[in-house]
Amino acid sequence: MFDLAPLVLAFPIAGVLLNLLFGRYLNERWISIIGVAAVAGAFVVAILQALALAASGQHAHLALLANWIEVGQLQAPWQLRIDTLSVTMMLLVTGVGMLIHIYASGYMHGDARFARFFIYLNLFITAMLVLVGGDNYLMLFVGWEGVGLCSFLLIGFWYDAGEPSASARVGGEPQAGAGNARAGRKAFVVNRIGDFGLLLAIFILFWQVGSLQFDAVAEYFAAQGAAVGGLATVITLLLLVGVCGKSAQIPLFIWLPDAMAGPTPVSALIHAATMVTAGIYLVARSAVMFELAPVSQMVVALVGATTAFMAGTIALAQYDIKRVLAYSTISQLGFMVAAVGLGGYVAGMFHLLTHAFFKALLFLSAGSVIHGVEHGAHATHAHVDAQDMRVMGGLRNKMPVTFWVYLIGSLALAGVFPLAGFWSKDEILADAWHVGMVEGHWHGVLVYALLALAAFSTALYMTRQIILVFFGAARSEAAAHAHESPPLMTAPLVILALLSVLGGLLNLPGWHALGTWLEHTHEYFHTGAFNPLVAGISTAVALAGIALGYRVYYLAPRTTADAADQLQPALGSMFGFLRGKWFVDELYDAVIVRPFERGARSLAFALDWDLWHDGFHDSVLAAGFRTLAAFLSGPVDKTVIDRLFDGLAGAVRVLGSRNLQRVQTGYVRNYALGVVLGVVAVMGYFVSRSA
Amino acid sequence: MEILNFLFSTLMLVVFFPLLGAVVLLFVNREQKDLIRWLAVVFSLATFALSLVMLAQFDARVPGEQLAVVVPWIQVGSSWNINFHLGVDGMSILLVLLTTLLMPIAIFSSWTAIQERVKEYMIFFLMLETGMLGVFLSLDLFLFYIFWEFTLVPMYFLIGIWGGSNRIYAALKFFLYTMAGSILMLVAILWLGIAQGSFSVPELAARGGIDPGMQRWLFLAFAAAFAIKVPMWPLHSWLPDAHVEAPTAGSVILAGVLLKLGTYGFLRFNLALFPDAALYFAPLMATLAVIGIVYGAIVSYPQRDVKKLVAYSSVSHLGFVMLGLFALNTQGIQGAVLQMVNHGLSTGALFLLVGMIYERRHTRDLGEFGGLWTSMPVYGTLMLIVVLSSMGLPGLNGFVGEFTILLGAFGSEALASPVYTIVAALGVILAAIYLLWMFQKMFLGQVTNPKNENLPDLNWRELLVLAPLLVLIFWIGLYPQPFFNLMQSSVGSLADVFSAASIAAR
Amino acid sequence: MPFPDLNLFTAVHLLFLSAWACALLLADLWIPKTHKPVTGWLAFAGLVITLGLVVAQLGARQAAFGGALATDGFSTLMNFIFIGAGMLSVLMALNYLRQHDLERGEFYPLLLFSIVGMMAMGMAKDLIVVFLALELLSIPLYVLAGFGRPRIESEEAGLKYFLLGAFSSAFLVYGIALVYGATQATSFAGIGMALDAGQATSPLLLAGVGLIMVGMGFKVAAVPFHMWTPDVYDGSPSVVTAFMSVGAKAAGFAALVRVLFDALAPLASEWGVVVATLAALSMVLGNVAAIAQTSMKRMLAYSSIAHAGYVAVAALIDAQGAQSNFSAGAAIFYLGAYALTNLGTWAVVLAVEKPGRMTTDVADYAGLGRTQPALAAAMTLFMLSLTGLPPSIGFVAKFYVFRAALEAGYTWLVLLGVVTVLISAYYYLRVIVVMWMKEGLGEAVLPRALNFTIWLTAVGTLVFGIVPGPLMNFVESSVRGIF
Repeated sequence: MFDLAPLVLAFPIAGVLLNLLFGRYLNERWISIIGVAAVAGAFVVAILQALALAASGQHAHLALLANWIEVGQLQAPWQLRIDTLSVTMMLLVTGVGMLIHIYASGYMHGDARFARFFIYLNLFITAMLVLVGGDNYLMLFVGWEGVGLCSFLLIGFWYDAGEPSASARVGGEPQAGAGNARAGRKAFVVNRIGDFGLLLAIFILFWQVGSLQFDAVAEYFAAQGAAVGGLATVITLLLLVGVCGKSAQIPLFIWLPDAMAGPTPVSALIHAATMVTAGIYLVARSAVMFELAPVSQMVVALVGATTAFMAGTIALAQYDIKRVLAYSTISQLGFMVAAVGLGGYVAGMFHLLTHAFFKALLFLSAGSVIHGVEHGAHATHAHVDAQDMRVMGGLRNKMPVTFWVYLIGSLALAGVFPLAGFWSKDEILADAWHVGMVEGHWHGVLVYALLALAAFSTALYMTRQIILVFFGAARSEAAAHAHESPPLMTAPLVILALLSVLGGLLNLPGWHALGTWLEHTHEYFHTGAFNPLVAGISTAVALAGIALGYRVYYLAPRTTADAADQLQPALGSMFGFLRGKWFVDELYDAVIVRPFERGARSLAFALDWDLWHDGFHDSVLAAGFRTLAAFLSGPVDKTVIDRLFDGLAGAVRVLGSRNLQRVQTGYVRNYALGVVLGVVAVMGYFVSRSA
Repeated sequence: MEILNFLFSTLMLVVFFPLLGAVVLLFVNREQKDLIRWLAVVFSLATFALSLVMLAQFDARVPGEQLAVVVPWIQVGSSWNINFHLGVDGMSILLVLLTTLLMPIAIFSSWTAIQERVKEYMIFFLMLETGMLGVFLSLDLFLFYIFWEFTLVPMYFLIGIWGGSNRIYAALKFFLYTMAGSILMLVAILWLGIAQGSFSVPELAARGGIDPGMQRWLFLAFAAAFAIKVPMWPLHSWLPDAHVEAPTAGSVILAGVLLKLGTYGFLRFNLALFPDAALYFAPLMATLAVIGIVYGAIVSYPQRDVKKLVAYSSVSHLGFVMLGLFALNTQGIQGAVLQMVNHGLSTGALFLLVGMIYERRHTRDLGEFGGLWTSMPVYGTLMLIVVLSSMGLPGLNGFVGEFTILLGAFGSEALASPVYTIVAALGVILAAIYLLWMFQKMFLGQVTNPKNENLPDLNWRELLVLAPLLVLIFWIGLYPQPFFNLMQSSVGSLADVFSAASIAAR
Repeated sequence: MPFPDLNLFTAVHLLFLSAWACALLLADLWIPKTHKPVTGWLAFAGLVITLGLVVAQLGARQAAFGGALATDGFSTLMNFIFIGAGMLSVLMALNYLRQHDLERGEFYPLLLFSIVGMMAMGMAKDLIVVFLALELLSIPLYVLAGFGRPRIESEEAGLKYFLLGAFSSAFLVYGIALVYGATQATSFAGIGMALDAGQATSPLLLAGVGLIMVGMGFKVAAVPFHMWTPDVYDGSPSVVTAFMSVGAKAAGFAALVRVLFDALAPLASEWGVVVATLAALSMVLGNVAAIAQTSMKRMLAYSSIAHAGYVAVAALIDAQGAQSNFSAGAAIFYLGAYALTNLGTWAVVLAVEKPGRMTTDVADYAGLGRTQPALAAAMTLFMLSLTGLPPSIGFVAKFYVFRAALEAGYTWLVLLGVVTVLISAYYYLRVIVVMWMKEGLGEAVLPRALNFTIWLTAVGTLVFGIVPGPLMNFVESSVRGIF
């Protein structure tokens, strides 16, 4: 069944091509069938690969598709690697992807660019499968950039809508309706900064190891061991740059909140469940190098934990339903990054999976909410921002299915026992506890503290969100007239809700299905022991967060859309700081973006054009040349010499007769004197030679 | 019979068939514009077919010249040993194919854009093709120089007659700058001919043994010609003028092929003939290349004229090529050769696309556009693909070249420092910044200018023009191996010189 | 005292052409004013016959008049240039004179006399002969320069040319006298022997050499003896200018090469510097000054000064004298190439020149590419050839010349040379720009003889640019072993 591996790519590629070529002739129904079938096909193939793997003792299998780049000793083929790690990711990507495709066929109903949307989605699935399925760092990089492209396209899917935020009006004059496009561009460019690090890491790997194959790299580092610790540190730190870009970690996380400009299925699929987790996959894939580089591990763990904490606090003060989820995603990605930084690869992967379930669920449910409110707005001709939680309220009764799945997702995210999030988050916290308390590393303690705080704020902001959206009274006409979404959308929600409930089974303490499965890919992959103390603390933290939320938001409900947030009095100016997202965008704007703009402008116009092009080439070179020419042909050749000789010849003017006036006042005598001068020079030379 | 064998040898046909077309066109009535256009297309397509014949006869395993045509040409006394010497090898074959491919495309793209003096236009194009092919295929310095200078004249006319408002200035600048470099090369060629008693490139390369001190002077003289042509920073000042003023097809050929004459010259002469000097100057050249990469990219960003933006982007892209060449190892050089082709395809396609909107709107000001993807969806999509190819997205051609180059430069023994690559890789980020910015300004956002609302999308002729480029963009991106295979043995034997030489130097 | 061996056969072409010119002068009296072209055709016929006589002498190497004149490969080559220039000038004159109302029969005999002088210069083996030939060449030219009377510019040109020509001839004579004083000889052989005997650095001799070079420098219009050139070129009837710029320059160089290489070769290290300096000054000043010109004829005048510089680059010799054949060949080839291209250029100038106006501005060529594409194409080719761009004979000639200089060790001169080539591109290109890229009427009149001249020179410029080998071989083999 390994022979079928190439099909995992073939299906989505076929989907892209079919819709690309025939999409304009097909109706929505067929387009979505093609799109969904393409992913479903890949999902089936992925299942078959998993079964084949299980049947063959979980040994990695390589499937060569074609040669790609062979230059000198560089050998980078198109080759798939089927092992437990990649298959896990494939299952996630295609499985969740399939559900989101189904959902999207309802969500995107009536959109003018329906076919294009499915082309992009299928293209994304392809790229993501290349990323997780490739057997070398170069293929990983291909997928890495490929998903970045799809992200760019999908964020800017409604490329003619959206106004850039005030802080983002960069790059000359504002352009009408380019806000979404700008968000997409921002995502791509920031990601490219990350890619830069990854690329350099690849270069070092190649010249040190001589190959980019995962196996070869792993063998090399396993064989060299501590001798190449420094090398491993450099490489892993560069990889971290890539991770920060793709998985939205400090300092490159700024693109992800803006990415919410894309259609909601995109936010669910790309910016929550799959693409952004590529960084965690990369670290897990490169575990052998990280294990040799404790410094890098520490940096990774701290970056992850800080990101988790920071994004968690920002999420507390946002009103946009998707933006809250976006910061939540950043925060949860921070958990995962911290986990892999601590060596808890399985914990990280575990959280990656469960998070994919419940965050996809939350995003899609949020989409359902937005969809409902938009319908309400449409019915009442009200102009409201359908994503603003302040105008919602009381949707519990109007959208019951959505409410229940949303609640499940929120609880899972908050880490409430026994939902999926509880188990996976607990593993991470337990790993941090272990590193900090048992192994006695200071950074373990710090990471644990930050993550615990983040967990607390997670529970708080999700409670806030649930209450703002679903409880209380409707705070706008649109919310009052909202209604439940069609079954095509709610069905995937229910499935994801089930997964969010049961996801913990994947790696339940004592069973460790995921751990034993992944162990076959790498010896470093193992699950830490269950720690009842940590579990107890985290449960307490989560419940405290929920309780605080209940106290602040439920007991003193918001009544109007424009009332101040209930937390505002307690936090004071701190709330504005959080609301302003720690002003990181503004900081980057002032420190990087605007100076770059200004610098580029002065380089292009002042230096290159005015100074170099006009100034040097036209004014100095060309004009100087012309002046010299005019000087030599005019003054020197005529005037200067003429004047000189006019003066000399004045003395002999008396000799001239009137008839020869013209010749005399002309230049003949001057020319003659010129000849004389030449004679003098020539003779002078020869005479000096003869002496 | 010998003369027939000579005249009808593959390379003679490839090089001179376009010229034959130009001669035929001389005898066509100037009023029969369509006939002239068809004849020009037919002749350029036939040349392309001939170049495919050449490809079929080419044996990629042989490192040296193939299909050689050597005829004594100017044999005066004992020291004038000039042959008419054509030959193809792995370093030139791709560029020949690129030229013969781009030429019918360029001619085809001028179908409606050029209405004035069609006859002269086509004649100049066909002459230009002969000149460029001659440069790539001549293996005698004297012959090479003749073709090299010969390319100047038709391009000068193409810019000067059919160009934009400031065309004469641009044409003159193009001519004088290029010539300024070439004359120094001429002196170096003369010196080589006298001191080595031969103008044959393969012979000179094989013989070697030029005093390293002298090599440096010769290297600089040749580099003067090529660096201006490339153009390397800071000698790029003529490029924006030439590109902005040239007609679309002229820009396509200028960016697609003419700039490659410079990079090819570095490869063929500076690297092969003066290996010691190349090693000596490699850090300097790489530094200039890297500055060019970053500088070109930054300067591209704030441009308002799309053509100017693309022109400056060439400075950046060709910086990659130069960096690859002076990495002086297999990866760098092979990547550079492939990147020459890639740049021809991507930037050629970019100029074609810009020309298509210019024909519709008669402006290239970024501020005039916005939301074009809505009014011209096919156009927008194709532009996106080309933009992505230009910024080196994996899976498209640009990436394969850039990656190989950067990889080569990173591990280059001649450069001996990863700093070049690190800075150059910044260009990858910058490319995303300025190209996506351009794409956004033109295609995204709302249609605010009513003039952009009802623009017709691309017609079948325009699609036909772009199709081969797009196919190649994907082909090279996904499966570049056939292209690498063509150059592998030639570049390999050149790179061997450097690995041996650099070891000896230490 | 034995009567010297006249060996008249060796000088038969000289004698024939002189006789033919005298006869033509008389015959012209009987030719009616309406049929003056007949005189022109008769002159042409005379040149054809002379050409036949020169061809008959191919490969001969003989001396005449007691060694004062020689027929050898060098002189034969030069004769080809002179006769060719003469023939083309006659063709151009046929229409030009009528157009400008200058149809006076004495034009053609004067032209022939001048050619006789040129041929004699190429054959000279004695300083006295050099002087005689120079006067024989110059005096008809003075008259021809003023042939445009009653136009004041032409008369002024004739007078200036005469005055300055006489002035410089005086230097030449004085130089000859000094050399004689130093070596007791005027024949090249005699001077050579005296030098071998060790009088190389006598101040008398060197001063003489310097003065001789001044005289020649004036004839070839080398800087700083060039100042008459723009005025005379501009003022003379264009057809005379065409002939003068090619023939007189070639003759001057022929004599210079003979004197320097034949008689004064041992002094190469002395005069080499002077020649190189003259070459450098001419290349730089000629080219740079040409840029500022608006009149086509003045521009070509400065261009011809510059080309004198390029020829002079070839007339160099390394200190050991090892490369003399080579550079003499290069000089001759360059002169031939220049003659071909320049006559073509002047033919186009004649075609564009309006009746009754003796000067043409570069701006008058605007639109020529549209109205007369073939003519403009030919002019483009000539301009490229004058610049020295391939594929044209001008490129090969520059290649040849620079190579010779490089081989003689004058690298700095070659570098300066190529830089001036770049400068020259600027003004030659401007003609192309005006023709093809500016709007204008671009009128031109193309009678048959002129058309033929343009075609012939254009084809020659192109063909010898692509296949220069045979011509170069011919030149090389002709001059081998002469110096």
